[in-house]
Amino acid sequence: MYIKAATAISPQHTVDGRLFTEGVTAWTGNKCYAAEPSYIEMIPRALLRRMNKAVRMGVGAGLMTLQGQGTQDGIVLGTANGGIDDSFKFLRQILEYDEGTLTPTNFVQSTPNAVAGSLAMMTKNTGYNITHVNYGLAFEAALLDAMMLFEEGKVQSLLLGGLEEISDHNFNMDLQAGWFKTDEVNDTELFAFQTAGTVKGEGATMFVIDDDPEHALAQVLAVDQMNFATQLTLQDRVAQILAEHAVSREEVALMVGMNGDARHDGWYHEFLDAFDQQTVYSFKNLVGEYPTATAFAVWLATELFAREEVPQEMVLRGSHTPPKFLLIYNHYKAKQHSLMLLRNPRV
Amino acid sequence: MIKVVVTGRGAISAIGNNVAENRQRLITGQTGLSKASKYFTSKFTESHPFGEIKMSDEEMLSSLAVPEMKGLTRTDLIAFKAFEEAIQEAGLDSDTLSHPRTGFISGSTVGGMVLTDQVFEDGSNRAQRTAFLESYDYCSHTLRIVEQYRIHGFTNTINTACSSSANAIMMGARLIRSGRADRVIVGGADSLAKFTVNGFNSLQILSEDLCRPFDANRKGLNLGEAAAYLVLESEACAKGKKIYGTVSGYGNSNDAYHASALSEDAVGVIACMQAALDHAGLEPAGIDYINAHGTATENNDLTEITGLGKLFGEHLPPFSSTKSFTGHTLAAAGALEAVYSLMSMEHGELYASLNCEQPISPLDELPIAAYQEQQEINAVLSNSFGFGGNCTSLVFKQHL
Repeated sequence: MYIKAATAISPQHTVDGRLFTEGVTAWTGNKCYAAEPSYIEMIPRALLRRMNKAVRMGVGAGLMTLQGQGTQDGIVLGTANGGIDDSFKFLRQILEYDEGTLTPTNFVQSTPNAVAGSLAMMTKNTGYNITHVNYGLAFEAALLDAMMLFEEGKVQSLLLGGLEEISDHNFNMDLQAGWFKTDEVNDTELFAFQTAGTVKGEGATMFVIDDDPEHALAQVLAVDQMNFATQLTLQDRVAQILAEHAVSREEVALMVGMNGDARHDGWYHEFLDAFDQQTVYSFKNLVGEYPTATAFAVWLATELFAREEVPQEMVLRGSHTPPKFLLIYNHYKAKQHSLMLLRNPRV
Repeated sequence: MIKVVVTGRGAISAIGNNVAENRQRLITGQTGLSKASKYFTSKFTESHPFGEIKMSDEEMLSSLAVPEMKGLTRTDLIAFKAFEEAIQEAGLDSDTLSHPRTGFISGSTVGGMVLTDQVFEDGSNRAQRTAFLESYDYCSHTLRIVEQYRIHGFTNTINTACSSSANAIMMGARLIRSGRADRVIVGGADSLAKFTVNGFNSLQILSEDLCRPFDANRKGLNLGEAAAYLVLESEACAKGKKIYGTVSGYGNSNDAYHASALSEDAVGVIACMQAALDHAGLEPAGIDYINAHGTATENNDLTEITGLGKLFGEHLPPFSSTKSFTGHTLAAAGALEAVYSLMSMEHGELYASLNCEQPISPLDELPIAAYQEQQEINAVLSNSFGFGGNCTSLVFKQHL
């Protein structure tokens, strides 16, 4: 399974490549909002007006990725919450108007499958269509789903992606549950601050994946998920995955989902203790934490594979040269763990 | 090719708190839909019929084998209830449930949004207690079950609106066929919520009368609540167990037409049914019963009957919408109707579609009018269509 095209709408200037030409955009506080492109050229105004941020970012990133890529056999997405802000808007309507006459737009646009549905409708794609919503494993489930579709011989090319939006209500829920920092942090200090909680991010990342290796940006070799992980089972699984694909530990660079939460970053530190020479990359200091942030990690991998020089902020340990293989380890709220192994087709 | 068989079923709906009770009501033809809901509070309960589960949250909690858990919503509770029944029937012990080759995939569209008012308060930084703060997501019920039963294998939640649990069944079967899992518990749960009731009302497809699937004078759908799960196992793992049928075919497509309506020419509907038949290696004439999506909205039933007419032609088998008993149970519908489809094969019986008098022209086909027994049902097609154009069809066959 090969990645042929990739687009990320994120808190960094990732759409126009300025992340690499001008460097990382600094942020402060505990929310990293996406730097959205203009959608006017892509999405008809009448549709755009009704779209919430998640739908807008997802559809926008999807359409950008599809440009010049021919037709796809299906759309496979991951999002924990989709257009959750519209859900709250609809809840507010219900309460304010005491279940009176309400407008359906918020309701219809709030369903997480609205992005895959809109993309199917706008590109006339009647193929396989699904939306996985299992929190921090939603994108990983999408990736596995896609992998099985290729194995089954059902598809040759797919649109695959992950997205999430920051909604005030959702942020407030997780804030009250202690998941976000309340002290003033910024991008350079995220990992240094020894406090509980992280910062909330958002974005939409889309890929065209194909069974044809020509002009591929990356090859997806493996995706795996774990509940009730321990360091021991994690390392076992890593060894298994590497062995299955005949990859030696020395050939692998690592990317970890460290997010500055002093309570749970230990998972990453301990994980990295098992590797001493390998270069290690980070991504949540660029885009914040959100359930499908690993989709952004995969996008970043395609860039690391292609670029000789990258901003220092992405390199957590060692020095950058385009790696031959990249192993991404992430956990969400220390419960849902995932591993993804990618190959650089250029090396 | 690995055969995927069903070894356990669990269901709770407006017509019963377990699989056997559900079947009894399908036989006697008594709907579970009625006005004046007892536990669901909404302005609409006086004017509109709903398919409410006849148990309070407290009764449900005390009937469960799980120890005291905090922050469980009604969606979580009904999910636990149906899940417990399914794993008991399949005889899965705790070691098997925690085995890395045992997976769990569920669907929900309402999730914790069932607590409409409380969600709003908590989201506005006015949380009175923290037990529920992580109960509101679409996947919350899945994570609770994963936590309680310590499921180490593949876990997932799918939200494709009203085809969610049909897709959960499809993905579970594919995981087993791919060799990635030995067994996967699949299904979905959705409880009645102001959120969905007002949503469907705002779309003007919520009926004040009992729904009349496939009737020319239908006036919209009734909402219901349900949870249903199947235990899918590879044939090799199911040795010695009672088998209720095989998951033989599945098709998933998108209608690519409208956010909340299906196309007149039934593109997605036909595509997913055709794919499911192909996958099962069946001609249309090989299907003995169709458990239709049949929501009783103007749009769905016209499109579905159009699709059935085009695909099945003169071989159109008996069909019914059991939503006339349960109401539309959204994400749970695919799994609940899968349970009904399997019962139909096991007992050789066909369930009625209630309240249909006048067929939709030009096809002029009436659904099953009354319960029929002593039928030979070898293969059943079950349809689930959702907002966003998401269409899924499943084919179940007798296990030979």
